Amino acid sequence: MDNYFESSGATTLHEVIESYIAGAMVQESGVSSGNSNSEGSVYEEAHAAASEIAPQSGVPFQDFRDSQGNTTINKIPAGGSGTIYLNDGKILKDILWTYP
Amino acid sequence: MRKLFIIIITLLLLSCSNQVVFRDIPPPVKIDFDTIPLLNYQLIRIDTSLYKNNNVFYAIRNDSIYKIISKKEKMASCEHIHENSFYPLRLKGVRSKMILNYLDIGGARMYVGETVNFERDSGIIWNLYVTPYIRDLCYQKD
Repeated sequence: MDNYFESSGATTLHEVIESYIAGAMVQESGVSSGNSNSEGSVYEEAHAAASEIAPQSGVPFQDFRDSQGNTTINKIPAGGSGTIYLNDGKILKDILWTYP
Repeated sequence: MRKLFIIIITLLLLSCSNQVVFRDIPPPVKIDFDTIPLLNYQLIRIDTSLYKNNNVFYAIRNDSIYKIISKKEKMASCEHIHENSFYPLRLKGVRSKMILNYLDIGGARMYVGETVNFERDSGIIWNLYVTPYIRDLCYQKD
C-alpha cells in the first residue's frame, strides 16, 4: 500500500506507533484493553493519536461477501469471498488481500 | 493472422490482470433482516449526486447518524422518501468485524462495484448500512 501511495514505511510506522500508544494508555490507566470490537477498547483513541504523529499513506477499502453475493460482516462463509483493495477514488486499482 | 495475434495478446494481458470480476450486490430482501429490530429513523439528508450508482441517506437516531446506501435504479411509481421525515427501518452494517483495525479501512465496495467512503464527522457512524426498506429513492412498506 505504501508503495502505491509512494510513501514507503508510512503505514508500518503508523501501526507501530498505534500499538505503542495503546500499550502506554493501558499501562497508565492500569486497565487492560480488548481488541477493537470489545467494550471500552482503547483502539479508537490510540488510532487517532497515532494518525496525528504518523498518518497512514492512504486508505484501503473492503469487499466481503457470502456465497450469494450479499455483504457479510462476520467470518466469510463457505463459498464467500473477501477483498481488501486500493482505488483511485473511483475504481479498483490494486488488491492488497483476497480470499479464497 | 495479425488480427488473431492481437486478440491472443489482449486475452493474455487480461488474464494477467489482478482485477477481479465484480458481481453486483443483490438488493436486500426483508426476510434476511427479520432478526433486526424495526426502528424509527429521521432522514436528515439525501445525496444523489456524489456517486454515480449509489444514493446516500443520512438517518439519525439517538444522536447517531447512519449512512445508508441504496442502488440507483429505475423504480415504478413509489412512495418517495423525503428529507426530515421519519421512517421505520431495519438496518444492516456492511463493515466487516473481521478487520480489527477498522479505522484503517476507508470504505466499502457497494452497488455496481462503486467504492463508497465511510465518514466520521458530526456523529456519523464509521460504517455503511443497507436496508430492504429503501430501493432507489423509494420507501418499501411492510
